[in-house]
Amino acid sequence: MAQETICIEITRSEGAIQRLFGLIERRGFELTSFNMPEVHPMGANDAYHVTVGITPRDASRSVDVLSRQIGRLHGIRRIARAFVAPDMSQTQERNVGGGVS
Amino acid sequence: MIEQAEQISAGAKPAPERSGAQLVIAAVEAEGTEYIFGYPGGAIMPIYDALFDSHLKHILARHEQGAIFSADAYARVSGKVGVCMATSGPGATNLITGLANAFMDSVPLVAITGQVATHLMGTDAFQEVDIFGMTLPVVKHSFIVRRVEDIPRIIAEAFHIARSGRPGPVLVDIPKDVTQAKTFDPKRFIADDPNPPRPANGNKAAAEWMIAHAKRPLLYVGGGVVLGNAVEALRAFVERTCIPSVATLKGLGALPTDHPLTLGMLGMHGTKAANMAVHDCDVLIAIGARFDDRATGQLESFAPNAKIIHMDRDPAEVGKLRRPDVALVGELSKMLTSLRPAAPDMERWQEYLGILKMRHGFRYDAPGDGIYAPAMLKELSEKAGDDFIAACDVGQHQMWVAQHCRFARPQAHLTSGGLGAMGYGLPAGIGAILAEPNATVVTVSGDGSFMMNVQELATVQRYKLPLKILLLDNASLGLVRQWQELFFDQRFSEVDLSCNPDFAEVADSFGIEAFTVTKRDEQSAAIDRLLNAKGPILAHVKIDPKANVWPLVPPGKSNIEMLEG
Repeated sequence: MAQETICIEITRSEGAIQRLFGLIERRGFELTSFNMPEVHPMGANDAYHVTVGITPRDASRSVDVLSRQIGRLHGIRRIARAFVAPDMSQTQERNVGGGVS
Repeated sequence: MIEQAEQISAGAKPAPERSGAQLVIAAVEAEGTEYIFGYPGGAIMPIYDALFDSHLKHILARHEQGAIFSADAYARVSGKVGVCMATSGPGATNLITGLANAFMDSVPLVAITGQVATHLMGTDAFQEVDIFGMTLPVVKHSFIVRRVEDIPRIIAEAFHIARSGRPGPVLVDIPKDVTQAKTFDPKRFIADDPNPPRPANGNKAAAEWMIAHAKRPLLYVGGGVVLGNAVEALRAFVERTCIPSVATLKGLGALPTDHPLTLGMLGMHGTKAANMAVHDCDVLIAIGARFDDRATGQLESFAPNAKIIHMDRDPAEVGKLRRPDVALVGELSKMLTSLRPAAPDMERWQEYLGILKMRHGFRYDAPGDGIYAPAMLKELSEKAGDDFIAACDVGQHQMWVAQHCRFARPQAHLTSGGLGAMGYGLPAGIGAILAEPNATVVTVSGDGSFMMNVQELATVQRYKLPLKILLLDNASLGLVRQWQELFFDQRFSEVDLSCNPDFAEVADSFGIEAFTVTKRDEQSAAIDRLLNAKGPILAHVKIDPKANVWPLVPPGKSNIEMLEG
């Protein structure tokens, strides 16, 4: 199954990364890569900027649904889905709490 | 998003020096909390010391799981945030089932745990566990408090997170040295609610069009209606549109269960009429429901002919299991109020559902002279009236309560829906009666479940709570036994509980009035005695060990392949 890349900005707090990675794995995705620069050129200093590569463990798993599940974690500021570049500047931003059509 | 702490404004009179423990209690008081359910121990002793000077009412459970289940039920009935406390190590781990229960059923709850001192964390100290790490999958959020100044901010934020949006449990783990430290400089919390999601106008119009042109529309009502305070809006919507409905286990009572437009519960132990209606409908309007496997049966054959309109507060639920044709994400009460479809033509549909309801109604004329639990539960709930609250355990009796009891409101039905945690019923009854002292609260339990938290009889007696306990004793783990009978070639493995104690004597030893009944002609008098008792009372009801719950959708089957017994 195809790997996808998600970029996430999350408020720095104890356990934030553990919470994020745990959710991704529990919801049926394999974490295939991740990148977390100490400083992100486009991001706030009080946030982590995480880029993760993920692969669904079976065909029933939807990255859209996973994105919304990540989006409801406390402290998530932005989440964007990319297909190629693990760079937030090249992704299209998604409104985390927004309506679904 | 929620903003960070702010220092108390410059120029204000400095706060007196207070300990972390005092700040914890003050922060909990500031949330309007009346009851804390808990159990003391080493690492949380400073907080219990501060509690000594507080007006908060502490309910001493006899096991931390009892405490958190009571806090859970208190929250469900009162609509407030439930609060519980435990010490580090085993005290904290004993909360985990309760946290999972509250997480699965979206119950607002704050659990405060003591932790070993900061310098000992990570050293395998006495009674040290990483409760923060252990509970990550079953909390809405969690905190470890590292600085005494942060206590008021974090406690307030925990309450805010627990009750806002889709509610859930929040854990606050506080090392002992932090509760013992003192500060003049507590930080406070300022909540800045993000705008709740609003459905796109086009989606609302599409939903209205779809409903108006439906021939066989059906509402699928879930627990989200209750959590979203949308019960009145739902009832008004039903009165306006006359669209029939089915309910999930957690949605029961959102519409009164005897409402003419309800077909009862759907799913594995739902009514045949409800499952047939879902199968035959052409537009299914899911309201605060999450397409749980117990409700849908085989997902591919669930509502196979229907367009789906999914209304939910939580965008993450939409499309998780069934992709909707129209999604409406937002506050359910507002969406239900604003949704104004033209009335669809449903005359033939309503006539059809009426026939289904009549043809597949429950029967209460079981043979024999033993007590038939469904009939007893029906009579109990009808006699108890609108103030009735059932706090269920898990098993056959839980399904019988859902099928046969009359509920006038959703708070009347307390059940461990998502987690299915045996042992919930007795402590839930305690929480419910504290939330509504004038209600007729009945814990309905089975002999298996009851023994999981039997120690809470001591709590009932300690606080002289007028809790009524109906213990349906079939001397077995009935639901497991039923499945072994039907799906495991009658290989009855470890389900016999004929070694049970005499439950009436057990209750008596705790100082609780109790009696035993076995015959059908004793049923009405037993119910009257239970309902008329002024103090705590237990009715030990022996029932047929071979009685099964019907109807039943076999595992992996579609909901219309129900077995009717």
